[in-house]
Amino acid sequence: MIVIKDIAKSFGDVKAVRGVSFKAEDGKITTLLGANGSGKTTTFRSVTGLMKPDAGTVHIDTIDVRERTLEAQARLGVFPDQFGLYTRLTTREHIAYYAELHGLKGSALSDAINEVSKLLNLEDIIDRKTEGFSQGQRMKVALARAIVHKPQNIILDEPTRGLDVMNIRLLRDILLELKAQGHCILLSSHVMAEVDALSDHIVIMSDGLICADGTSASLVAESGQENLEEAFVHLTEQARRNAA
Amino acid sequence: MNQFKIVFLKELKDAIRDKRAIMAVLSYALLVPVFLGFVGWLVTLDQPVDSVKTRVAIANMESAPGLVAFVEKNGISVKNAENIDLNNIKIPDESEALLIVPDDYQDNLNKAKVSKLALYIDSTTRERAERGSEVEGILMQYGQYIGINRLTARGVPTALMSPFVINKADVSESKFYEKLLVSGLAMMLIMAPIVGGMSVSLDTLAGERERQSLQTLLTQPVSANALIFGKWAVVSLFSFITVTMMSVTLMIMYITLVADKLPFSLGIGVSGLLIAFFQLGIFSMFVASLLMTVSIHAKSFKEGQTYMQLLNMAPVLLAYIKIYADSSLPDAARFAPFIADIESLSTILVDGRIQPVYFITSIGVAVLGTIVCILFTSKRLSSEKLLDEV
Repeated sequence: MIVIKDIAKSFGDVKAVRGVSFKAEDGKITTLLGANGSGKTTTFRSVTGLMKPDAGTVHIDTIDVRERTLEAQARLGVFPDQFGLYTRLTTREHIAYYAELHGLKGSALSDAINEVSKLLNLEDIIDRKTEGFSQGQRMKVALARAIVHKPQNIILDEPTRGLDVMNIRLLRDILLELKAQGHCILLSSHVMAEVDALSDHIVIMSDGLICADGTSASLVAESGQENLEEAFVHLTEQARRNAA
Repeated sequence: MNQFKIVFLKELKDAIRDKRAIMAVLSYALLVPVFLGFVGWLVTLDQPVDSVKTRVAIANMESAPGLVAFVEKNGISVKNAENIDLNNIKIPDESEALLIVPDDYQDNLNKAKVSKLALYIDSTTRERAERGSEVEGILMQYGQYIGINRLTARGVPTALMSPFVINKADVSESKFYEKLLVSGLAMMLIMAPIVGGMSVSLDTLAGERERQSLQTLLTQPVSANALIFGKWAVVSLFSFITVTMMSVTLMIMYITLVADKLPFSLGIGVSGLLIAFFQLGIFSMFVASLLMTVSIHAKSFKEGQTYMQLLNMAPVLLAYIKIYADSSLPDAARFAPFIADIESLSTILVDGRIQPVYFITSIGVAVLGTIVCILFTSKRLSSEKLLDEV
């Protein structure tokens, strides 16, 4: 479980995040929804320990990220928006590197690699260098290294960006399976259909603030709009008007 | 320690598969010694070679046994010149000068009369002209020797004829070449860790930022120190391997090709070799940390290459100052990084011993520089600003 409480972060005069609080629970998919510059990235970085908020706290399974960063990171699996693969390493070497950094070794390491390879259908590319991989193959490698150590909490930053339909469906199935296993999943996305289909809890951010949160249905009802996309536009514009 | 090992092994695997890194190591470690050997060979072309004597052909040499003995005693090789055509004088093959002794030479010598010796030289090249002058000088000495003997026989003190004695020592070209070659050799050795570690250091930090894998890496439960030391160890290893391979190639070149042609000899020996490798090992670690400090400030491999080119200029400029302005360098300048390294290394190469002041300076600067650079790089890696600069 990820608990974010009153975090704030400024860069000079720019207040990127202002008192953001929400909870991403185990066995649920929580989605952070917001326009560019709304504060999603800063919130994600605060959760993953890349950034220390000026105020507020982030707890991963009751561990304070600021105080015990490495312990908190050990309970996370991070799937970044840019996959950032090492082109001279094979898929297996990628997964092994990240798994070893999480403390896996020996037979536990090889078992974990085989398991994730089977889950993501990586058998045909497991011993190939990642140079020249398609976007779908790259996504699979990035996801494999994020979940190989079976983290309780999984963070995905715009996971479907650049993927074709088949890979989006594969990713969606995997996320639903992880959710069913009781993992806490926190993701950000711009694709409304995907958010609508996957999310148990949606947090809408605008100008560094949370302007609404709830289920897809409750947000649509609250906004009085026809669908989630219209609800998102309505709620964020309303928040801007209120702030002004 | 375990995380250091994991990062080190991953980076090593990645670097070994990096063609740019391997090419940088091999090209510098193998091609530069060949180039240096070529330069050394070119330098020797213009040098008098001690092992080959000046050769003079003497016509009618049986008339002047004393003169022939004197000339030979002074290191000139003498051969008999036969069938000399006085209307068409030619210096015989394999000789640099021709001396024609007149038939009445011995008779004139006995009667204390002047004989006219004819010396023919060829000044087509500088070397031949020098050899002709050498023969002429020895003949003059012999004439003086005869004169002194005659005066001594008549009771005249020798000092009247020779008021002073000249002890000549060559401090010109060969010494300059020696300094040029030894310092140049030390400079090339100093540059080896920089060239060998450059590509790896760029890939390990600037490349990590460029491919946007750094952010993911920093979300893993691994300390900044484990990351930095793991990467630094690989860069250091590449730097040291480059300088080691280059040293071995240079030694092979020296022993097999140019040792007998150079105007100096390297007296490094086994113990000197170990000391040199110790100094170069510490220096490689310093260079690796410096390269990483530069690399972490670059957002891409290409940007990093520009910074590295600027960095490369520093040791080269300092080395050239050391080589060409050595005599006018202030004492304090000799303790500057790279200059102290070259001073120390040059002494080890030529004499096989350490110059304590420069050796300690070299090691001290390297150790201190490594600590400062690693602290700086580690701090930079932990900086939140680094993420926004990607």
